[in-house]
Amino acid sequence: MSKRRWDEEEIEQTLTDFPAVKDRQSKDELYRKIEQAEQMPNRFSKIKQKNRRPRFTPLVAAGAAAVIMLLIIPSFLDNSSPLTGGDDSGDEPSTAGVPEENDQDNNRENENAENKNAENEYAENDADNDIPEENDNYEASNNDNAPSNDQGSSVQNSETAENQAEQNTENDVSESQNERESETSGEKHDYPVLSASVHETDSGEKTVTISVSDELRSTGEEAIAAALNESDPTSNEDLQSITRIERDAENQGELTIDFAEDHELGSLTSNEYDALEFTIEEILSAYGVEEVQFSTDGESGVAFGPAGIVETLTIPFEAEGYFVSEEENRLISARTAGETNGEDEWIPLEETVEAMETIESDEEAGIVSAIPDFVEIAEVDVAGQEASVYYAADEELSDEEMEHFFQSMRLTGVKYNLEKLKLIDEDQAEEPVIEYEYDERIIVE
Amino acid sequence: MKEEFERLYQQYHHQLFQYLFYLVRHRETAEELVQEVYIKVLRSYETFEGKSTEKTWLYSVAKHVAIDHIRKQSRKKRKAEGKEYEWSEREFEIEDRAPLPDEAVMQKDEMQHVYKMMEKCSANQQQVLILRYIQALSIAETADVLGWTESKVKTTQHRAIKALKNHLEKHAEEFQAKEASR
Repeated sequence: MSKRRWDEEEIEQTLTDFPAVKDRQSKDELYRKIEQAEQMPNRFSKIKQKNRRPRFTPLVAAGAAAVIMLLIIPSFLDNSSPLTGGDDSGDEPSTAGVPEENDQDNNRENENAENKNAENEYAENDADNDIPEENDNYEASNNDNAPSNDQGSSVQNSETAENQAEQNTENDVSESQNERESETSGEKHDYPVLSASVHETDSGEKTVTISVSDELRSTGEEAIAAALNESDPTSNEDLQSITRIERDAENQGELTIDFAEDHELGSLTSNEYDALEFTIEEILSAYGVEEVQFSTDGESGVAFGPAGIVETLTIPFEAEGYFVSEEENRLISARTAGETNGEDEWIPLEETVEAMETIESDEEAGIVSAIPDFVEIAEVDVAGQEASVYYAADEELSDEEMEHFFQSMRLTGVKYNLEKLKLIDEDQAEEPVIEYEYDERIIVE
Repeated sequence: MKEEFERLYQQYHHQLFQYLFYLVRHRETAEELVQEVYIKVLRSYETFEGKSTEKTWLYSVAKHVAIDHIRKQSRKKRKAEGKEYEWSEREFEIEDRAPLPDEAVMQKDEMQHVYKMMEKCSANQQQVLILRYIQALSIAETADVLGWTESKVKTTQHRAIKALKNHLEKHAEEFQAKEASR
């Protein structure tokens, strides 16, 4: 049937000789079909609509559900009012009509905080981000879980010293959070803690790198709180004066950060303020926040050193995805790298991954793709809040390449609010190489 | 709209159709997809900024339309049958419904063999093989269509030819082993 040996030139010539294939439709026939299709209402706008920002969709239903929950809550307050110190509801998940705010006076540890996986050395090896220690500090200082009656989830700090040693605030799961989770999968999922680190380049410019740890929190707000504390670039750890973080129940892109009245952010140097702004923007952008409202003890605005009173910070949306900063040998977001997608519109995960794969290396800026040249993304299959990335590698990935690649995918998964991410080497196995469920990392040999 | 259509048709239709055909390997599907390409292009024609040439812009739209189609088919198939990867799934369509283009040249055995083995190459490799050899686009044009750097096009092209060679030889060996065992 076929000869055994081929040379490359022969293959190239054969390809060049492939036949011209002609359309059998006539020009007029084709134009008629196009006209007919054009008359069909909003064919493409429907598709576009369907693709818009799934991560910001607790929507009206969630809002309405939260309102209903708030109406239900009072009937439970007599037994378990978080304001008065309720019963020991422990770590049990919420049941219908019983929000997890009941947990707020319970002195308990977040199991997920202990769930750090030693296998992920990427974040742990970073001298700038001593995650366990900083996280412990945060938890020790965030103690009085005074509940929020607002619709959004909240993380609250203590004003009383006696609770400080005992309480962990990061299990403050609100009803709206539960609504969001049940909307996507019917199950609660955990949120990884990210870590940003500001560096100064050789040319004296500031840049920020980012990583994802295996620490998890049970709400997005708790994860943001932990991430900000871990990444705090200020010399006095000023972000510990955050008393409340609350995501808008109806628009997950909006966030409120409240600081204690006695915060010392007003005395930040301009260098510290720049670093802080970088950090806040990077962390919040990575969690899908678009705008943050600052307040001090409930009053709008925070005095940020040289910037004066800042009430709102809009996180610039430019591009999704993560790349490698060669100078730092760490991941850098596309927005920090100066990438832009050219439109102020949400980009599907598939396109983000494609952009991450095909980014043109900027040798001058030292930005390269986190996906090595010899790795080819064969497919990104998204189903709801789960994604499978199929890839093929022509060569064996070094540990560092693999870590960059996997970390970049995982960080991207955070932005897209994925509950599960599978990375599958097409050539090696049918099973995933790594499967992140965001509550554990499973390595498949 | 008709004027623009006429002009685009005159200048690019043959190339576009051929590109779509070799991507999806199914004539009727290519006919449907080429309509979609024109619809998209005509709708956005006024906003075309001229950052790329008109030709590579059209190819780029066609690429997206074809990839979307392949992905949709892949998902449907995966739901129905379990794990199969999208680009290789076209093989089923081809074998089941439309073996090879009926243009006379494809009767040549070796060419058919290359055509079939191309499917075993990765999606990106196939894209480059089609654009560079069958469509005769330059490296710069191919890079523009695929949104890659020229060096990535060169690397992928080099790997694609090597991969195709391996597939051809492997298949020939398997075939001959089968023949020998009869």
